[in-house]
Amino acid sequence: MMDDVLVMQGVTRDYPVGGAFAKKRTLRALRGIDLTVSRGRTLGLVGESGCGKSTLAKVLLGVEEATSGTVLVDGHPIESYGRIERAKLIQPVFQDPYSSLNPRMTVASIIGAPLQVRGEGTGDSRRKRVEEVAGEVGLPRHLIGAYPSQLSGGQRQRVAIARALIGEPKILICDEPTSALDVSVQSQILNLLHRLKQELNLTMILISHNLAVVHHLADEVAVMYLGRIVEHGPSQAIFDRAHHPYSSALLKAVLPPRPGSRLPELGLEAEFPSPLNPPSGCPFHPRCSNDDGTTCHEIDPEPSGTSHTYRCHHPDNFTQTAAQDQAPAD
Amino acid sequence: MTNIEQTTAPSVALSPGRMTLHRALRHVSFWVGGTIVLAIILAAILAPAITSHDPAIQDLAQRYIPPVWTEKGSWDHVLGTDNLGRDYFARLLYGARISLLIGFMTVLISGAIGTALGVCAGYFGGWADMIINFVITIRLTLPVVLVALVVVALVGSSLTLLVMVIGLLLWDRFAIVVRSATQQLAHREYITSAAAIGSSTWRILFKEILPNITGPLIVVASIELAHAVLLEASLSFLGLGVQPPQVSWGLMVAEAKSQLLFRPWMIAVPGAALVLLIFAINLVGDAIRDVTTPEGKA
Repeated sequence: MMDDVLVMQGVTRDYPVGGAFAKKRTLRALRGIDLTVSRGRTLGLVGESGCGKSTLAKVLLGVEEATSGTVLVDGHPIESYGRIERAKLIQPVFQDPYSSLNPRMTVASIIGAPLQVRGEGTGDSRRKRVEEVAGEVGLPRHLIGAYPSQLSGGQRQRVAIARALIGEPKILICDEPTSALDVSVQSQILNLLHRLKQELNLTMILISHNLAVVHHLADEVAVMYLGRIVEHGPSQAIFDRAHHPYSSALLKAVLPPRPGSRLPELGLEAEFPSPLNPPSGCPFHPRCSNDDGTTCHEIDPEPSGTSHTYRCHHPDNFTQTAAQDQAPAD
Repeated sequence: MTNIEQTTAPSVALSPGRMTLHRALRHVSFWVGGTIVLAIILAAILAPAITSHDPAIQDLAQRYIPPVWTEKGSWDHVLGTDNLGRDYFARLLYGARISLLIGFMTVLISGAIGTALGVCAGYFGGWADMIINFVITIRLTLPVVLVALVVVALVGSSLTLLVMVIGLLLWDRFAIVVRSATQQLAHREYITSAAAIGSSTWRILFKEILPNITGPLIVVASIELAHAVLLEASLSFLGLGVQPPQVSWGLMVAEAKSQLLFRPWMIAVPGAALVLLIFAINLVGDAIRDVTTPEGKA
């Protein structure tokens, strides 16, 4: 049996919307997430803006609490860990390195903060460890005493990664780690993450809307749509043959690196629906090219498949080999 | 892999606070205002060294001596004497002590109250925010001078009471500004990061939020300092502030009000001192606002 570090079962997260006078409504940011991540694996989480990716990250970090469902970290519910124990297990790397570092702290105190918070080590031993980690993430030594405003975007992101790694966490949650960076720096940060992942046997959740990034780093991919996982499977399987029409559309949405070529045809019809008022039946049906007009409007598809699961009545690319997985539920 | 990022970095890192100070030192109004405020503070502290006169000693033979620039003036009493023959220059210097003391003490008290309330409202949001907003609204409905009048009239006046009353009344602007500044910061990723590395709420409030709102805080403090000095002057003018034999600038104006038409300099002198102090404080506040706002950053 594989060693499951992170298990999510039916995780939902609701936000109340509306003030004292407006009608109270509930925004369901996460609607029953089931996911399991094994030790040392990297899960890529993709989806449009507003689909709940970042909410999921916050729930996993323990910054937000799940409304229902359980998150098991290393076999225990996430709420059972204290503030510091949780921080030892899970660490984040955020999207915007310009807002993820306190402008009033030096690089050394930012990287060393996790140790200071835990009261680990003396000033001297902490400083040594900070230099060690800064070296590991490729941060030039002379920048240790600098302030974030004196650093480039890539250097800032290295600081953020160093801060996340100094306490040797088991799980690293990267929320769009490269989307705020220049293209040239993006690959440096990705290579760094790739190397660290192997050296430290990190389990990683990689949240991104950039499929190339996910392809580069992830062992498996989960596609999110409107607060739920619509397709989940090994990275290669999904990139080769996505079953859910939404995943296919996302894959098609990648711009070809060729000037003058036409914009890709997505087959996504309507706008992204409001999570305040999700569509009936399969939540994807208003935008789906495979919409049959009856079943899709009435029945919410359950996940089908075993290693490569998807929630769709009429999956794409459904060949004989995939059918052996399990018959689609339609 | 890393050599691309070997950009030039300053050999000595300046903290953002130090850089703000450097910018402030290049700001003209910071210099002008700062010099005046500093001069007034020094004059207040060094009062006994500057004048040999005692501000409380009366000399009825020497009443109403006009200041030195008039025909009957003398260098013995540079700014003349008042209705009881007390040296006006000495009273001005010693009066500055009370005015400044009340100003700074009040700002300390009101700043502490307002900052605590504002940070809590901005960071915790929800119920805490609602309750604190309610308290701020209640405070804003109270007319400051009227409340101060009632308290002083009921309890009697003393310097401590005056500081407490003004301090407990002037925290509203601190609370409002700090609340909105905190709200802007509360959703920054470095606050989330601080929570994710296991920081306690105290640590987040004191190490992550407070250092990042010092800019607006200092600006409000300068405004409220001027406000408190003026309020003390008003209360003293109404006879509810500082009580003789203590001196304050407001009290000097009050005592001279019967001479408004006959010896206008008696009101003009402390009045001008007040104007100068308030003007200088506001110059400093303006300069600080200029150098701490992003648009002011060169």
